[in-house]
Amino acid sequence: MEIKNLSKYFRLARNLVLKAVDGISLEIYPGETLGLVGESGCGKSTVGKVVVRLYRPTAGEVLLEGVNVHNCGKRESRSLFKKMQMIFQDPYASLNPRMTVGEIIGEPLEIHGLARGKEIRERVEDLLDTVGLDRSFTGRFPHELSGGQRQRVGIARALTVEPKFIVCDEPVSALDVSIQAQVLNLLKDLQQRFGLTLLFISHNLSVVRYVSRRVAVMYLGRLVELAPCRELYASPAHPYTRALISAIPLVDPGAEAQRRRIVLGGDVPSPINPPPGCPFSPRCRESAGICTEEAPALRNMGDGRYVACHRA
Amino acid sequence: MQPLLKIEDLNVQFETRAGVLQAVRGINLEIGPGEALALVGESGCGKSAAAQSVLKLLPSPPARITRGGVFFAGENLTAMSEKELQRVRGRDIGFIFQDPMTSLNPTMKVGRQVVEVMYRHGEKDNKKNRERALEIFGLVGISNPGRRLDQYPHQLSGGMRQRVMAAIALACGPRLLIADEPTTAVDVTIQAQIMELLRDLQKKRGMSVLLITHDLSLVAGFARRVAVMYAGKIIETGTAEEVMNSPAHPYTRGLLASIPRLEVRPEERLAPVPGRPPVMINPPPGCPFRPRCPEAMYICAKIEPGETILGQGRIVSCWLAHPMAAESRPERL
Repeated sequence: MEIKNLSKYFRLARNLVLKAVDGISLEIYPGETLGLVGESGCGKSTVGKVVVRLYRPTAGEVLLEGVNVHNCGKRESRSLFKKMQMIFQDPYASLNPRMTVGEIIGEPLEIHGLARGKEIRERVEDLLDTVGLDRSFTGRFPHELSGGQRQRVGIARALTVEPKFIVCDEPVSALDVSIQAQVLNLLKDLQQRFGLTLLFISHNLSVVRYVSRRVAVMYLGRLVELAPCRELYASPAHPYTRALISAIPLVDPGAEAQRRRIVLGGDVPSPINPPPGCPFSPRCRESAGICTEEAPALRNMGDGRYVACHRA
Repeated sequence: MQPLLKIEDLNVQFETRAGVLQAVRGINLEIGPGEALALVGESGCGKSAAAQSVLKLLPSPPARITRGGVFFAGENLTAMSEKELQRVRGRDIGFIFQDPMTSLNPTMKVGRQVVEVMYRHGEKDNKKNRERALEIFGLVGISNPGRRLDQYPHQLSGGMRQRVMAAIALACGPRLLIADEPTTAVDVTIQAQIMELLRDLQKKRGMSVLLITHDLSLVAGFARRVAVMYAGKIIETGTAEEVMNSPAHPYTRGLLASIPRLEVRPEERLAPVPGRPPVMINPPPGCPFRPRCPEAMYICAKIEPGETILGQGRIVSCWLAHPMAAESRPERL
């Protein structure tokens, strides 16, 4: 998967443009999980939705195995639905309340003509096994399930067409800790078993660290840092990443008492009228002259690490 | 030292169509003056029902306090009339709710919402009240407080709204602040700001804080003591160090093993608690955690464990902690 210079603007009124995503480039390698983190409103979900074609990009392109997903023939377009799937944050809103679990999971098979009649039932039962749900769930409706079970149904539905690439948009944010861990382990196992490539979008940095090999950090529609997981958490290069990581509460009281916390002042500025220069400069402690004038480009720092900061 | 807040054998039930839901089943808690205590548990464990019952905020019906009581500075809040309670709410005890968007009045400027609390509690000079509101807005870290006073909730960001909630809760200088999931609706950096604010208020003003949260990782930097709730009961209490570093209850151990932690190598696999919490309508006998417990014994399916005191303020409700459990080497279920 290649994301090239992708932008998505939303026109709110005549002279009001919200730049949700503003020129980001990313590559996701086969079989890896790329974590995409940032605070709400940073544009991370928009990236996911453009990638799976729920939105059309304003500029830039997305290539899956060399095929431009927004600009390809009808046949290719159809086959892309089988290659790319999405798992949504809210398992309550993303399942049709009038369909049974069996119908929800089986529907993609019918649409793509992948199975018929008895085969569908068998395949649905297989998928329920795969995501750790009892076969008796086939006839139940979403409202009869708990949050964790619904998210498992959402995962099963995404797996139905045997995709290669799945966008997971905050898949565990709505779940309780013990259930969250179950779903995270399930996703990790499925990825290894089926060799899936995942774009894992989350605001929770600890969760992202657990599942990802590389992590991209977004702020106000732009990428500010991209690095292998280990390096990013051990020595974050961008001041925003540093603040984000230091804001994660530690579980161990001893370690928590000893660490130095960077508490950022203020809120994320509005993406409607973003500040000139570096989008992070109004909250940045290291901001200097150039930061308020010119937006820094993403620079290659070596070892697979990219940072967009004048001071790094 | 007399505790500021004392919850004694509190029982709360909800009448539902499916039957009586036992949300809180006899909890005991004490918070001293200036102390910060965290009540931790997953959704549905009864932590919010317990917190809201302190000020009788739950609509009745369906909720009912069936047994026990809540004492604030020696006064029995449970026995108070609605009118008497209104004197306490907002003045002696401030409450921060989880979702500021649904608990603020969307049709009223936020400044007026703060002033109103003071007015209700006898401060009739609204010019003075407004000045005081301005001061409190500054205290809770609202930037440009003069302008913010005249804005409506929808004009503010999530973090700002949560601060307005804090300002309302603090308007009359309460002795106890109950914060029910104050950071679930906000981002990490804002979460850090709000926890810092609560820490500050507790330390500098000697205010007692009861923090209700599902997030064990918020506890370490904030509370000296922790109580873990499961299925309507407090199953473990102790200092933050004791509970986090040497948890005694299998559920607490499971919760801790479920959190992806920064201190742990990411390659280490999470060990979640299997299954999910029970619904407490006609629960089966025995320990409610038994179906999920990796260490369950025969007794656990028959009789619910009582409290075992492990030390000063260190209590656990589990048969494994029974003094005779260690020597008998019980068989696992």
